[in-house]
Amino acid sequence: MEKGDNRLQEPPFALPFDTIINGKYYIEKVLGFGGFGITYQGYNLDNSEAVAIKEYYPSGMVSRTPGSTAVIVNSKSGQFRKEKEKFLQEARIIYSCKNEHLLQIYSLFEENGTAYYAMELLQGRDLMHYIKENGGRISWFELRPYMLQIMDALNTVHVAGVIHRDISPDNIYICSNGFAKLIDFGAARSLDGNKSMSVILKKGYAPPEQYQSKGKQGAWTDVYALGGTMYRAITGVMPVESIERVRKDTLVPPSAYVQDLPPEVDRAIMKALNINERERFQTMEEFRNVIRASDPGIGRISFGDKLKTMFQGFNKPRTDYGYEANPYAGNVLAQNACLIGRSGLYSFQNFPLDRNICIGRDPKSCNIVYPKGTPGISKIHCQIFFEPRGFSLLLIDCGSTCGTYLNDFKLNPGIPNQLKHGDIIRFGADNVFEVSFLV
Amino acid sequence: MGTIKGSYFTDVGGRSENEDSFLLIHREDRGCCALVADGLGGHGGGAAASAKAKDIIEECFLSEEIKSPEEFNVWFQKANQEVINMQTPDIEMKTTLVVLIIKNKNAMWANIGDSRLYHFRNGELVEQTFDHSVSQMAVLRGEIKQEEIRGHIDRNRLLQAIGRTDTIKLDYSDRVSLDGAEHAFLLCTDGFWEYVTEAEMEKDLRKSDSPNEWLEKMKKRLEKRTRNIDNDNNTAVAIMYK
Repeated sequence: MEKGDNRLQEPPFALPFDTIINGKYYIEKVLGFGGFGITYQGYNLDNSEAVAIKEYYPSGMVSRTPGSTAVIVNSKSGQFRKEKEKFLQEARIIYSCKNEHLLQIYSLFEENGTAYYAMELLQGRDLMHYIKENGGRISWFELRPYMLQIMDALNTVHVAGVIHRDISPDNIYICSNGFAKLIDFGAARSLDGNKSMSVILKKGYAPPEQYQSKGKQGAWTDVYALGGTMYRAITGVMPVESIERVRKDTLVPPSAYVQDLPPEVDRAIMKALNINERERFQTMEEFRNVIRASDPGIGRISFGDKLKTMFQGFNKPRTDYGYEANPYAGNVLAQNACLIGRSGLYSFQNFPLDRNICIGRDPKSCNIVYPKGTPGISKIHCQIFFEPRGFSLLLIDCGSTCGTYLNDFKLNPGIPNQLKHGDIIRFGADNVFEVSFLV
Repeated sequence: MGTIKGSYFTDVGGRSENEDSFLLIHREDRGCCALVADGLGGHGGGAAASAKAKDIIEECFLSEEIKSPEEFNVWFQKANQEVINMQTPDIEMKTTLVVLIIKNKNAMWANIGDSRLYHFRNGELVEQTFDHSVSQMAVLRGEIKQEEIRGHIDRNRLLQAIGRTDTIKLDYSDRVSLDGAEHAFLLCTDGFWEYVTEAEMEKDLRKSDSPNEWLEKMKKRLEKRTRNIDNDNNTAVAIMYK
């Protein structure tokens, strides 16, 4: 990071590089920004953990001199104070909800004239990118477990009195460990109506009542948006915008686009997407119960899906490439395979491939661990494991920042690649491993 | 071939500038074109947007002929692109737009936004355009009645306008035959229809022999109702076909 004049970020009104807030969070870079806030990647100086920090920054109401930290309220400071308090209040509720499928919030505080909360930094990608990586849509059976997790999280916050209001594939995160998490609360807020539409809504996911200033929003509003998300994920098609449907409802059921969708799920999605809020599931729990009771599709998930299932819950306690119960006992190929360190920290070391390998900087999840500060290596960088039937060894990049290279070819994140004897795996500045099948 | 008579007025109301625009022209070979546009956006942006839309439609009317109502899409899209091109980071410019064409005993029209066109046959209101507003949607959802749009809280929340997005969705009419009856058309911005009810429009129409007379009667009602308030710009174009 450069200091001095080059502390400006992109966008320039964001907190400059190197800013420290709340006495312990070090701002590294901007991850994203929207109409209501800026999200930064940062670092907790107390425990050296990476964090994400959300800053309340409603672009219509405030500004900031580039290079400085104080937020300047442009107009109606009373309104700003009110909205800022709502931002904090929702964060407080999420903070107290503590659901493993809800983004974890570490702390909330006020500084620089606005409000912040520090939260876990996620590894993985949002559902929109996940769908795109899969060619624009995914099978219902692959989506189902993620939806159940998100419904669980939503139910928790609804019970606590908060409505998300901005559910879409962008706000559902699929983590590297296979967990789905709900992110980005409170983004959809209506400012005072004037002639132009100042409500920022996601067309296709927003039900009619969100367009109205006195619309009755409730759990049913999130039900609609989640139904729309499911629709988009499994069909690849955006649902018709709700206000269009009020005039003429041309939405076709998802079963028109995909085969293999259980009829009760087809009906449930259409019920969730009813433009009349009284006709939808009134609570997320009702919706969830129908989905939970539906066919989970065992045996119908494709090979790709099985791999992803393997990722779920991959969180092994740390011991330097320690020995755990051998999941590959009896696997002949596994008995003879190993990873040989050719350069870098683990030069000349031999790692038997008779267990799942996870490489990275996070001691909680990885068994080949690199120290903090090792350049070019992510917290969870890549994984090596046997394909379920045990016949081939696979390498997968876990969305690392600097990439994983197989025989000098940069891997696409999330896509498994078969390893053969003699393959060279490279990542970071100088870390090289060779795959060996001693037959 | 019936005779067409037209009249118009525009008033700034209680505002500091008039951001409405209108058009009323008649050419032997092309027929008659009427338009109103209500501009939005501060710092003169609204006036510029509605004027630009009017200019584009006028250009289109004088240079090409459209055979069917769907072709209004081409004109409106042209106007939309021009207004979008005019945007600056500080000034948002948008406008509503209603356009009517009468040629060879046929009428067709298109609209986007909450400026309206009313069509009367033999003194009776037979149709009016849909507003592209949240209030209109509330009517469709059965929450309020059509008449209750006047003064409704979401009346100003537009769902469609010229200059907002690259793709626009406009409404257009069928091709309506004017043969065999007397027809009247009223194009107006919301600053006008806010203060004159449909029943009053009909009443005044029946008592008027000319578009000018009709407008004068309706204007009186509006003025009475807005005497002590800072009302919006209001504009109306009236056409009679006999």
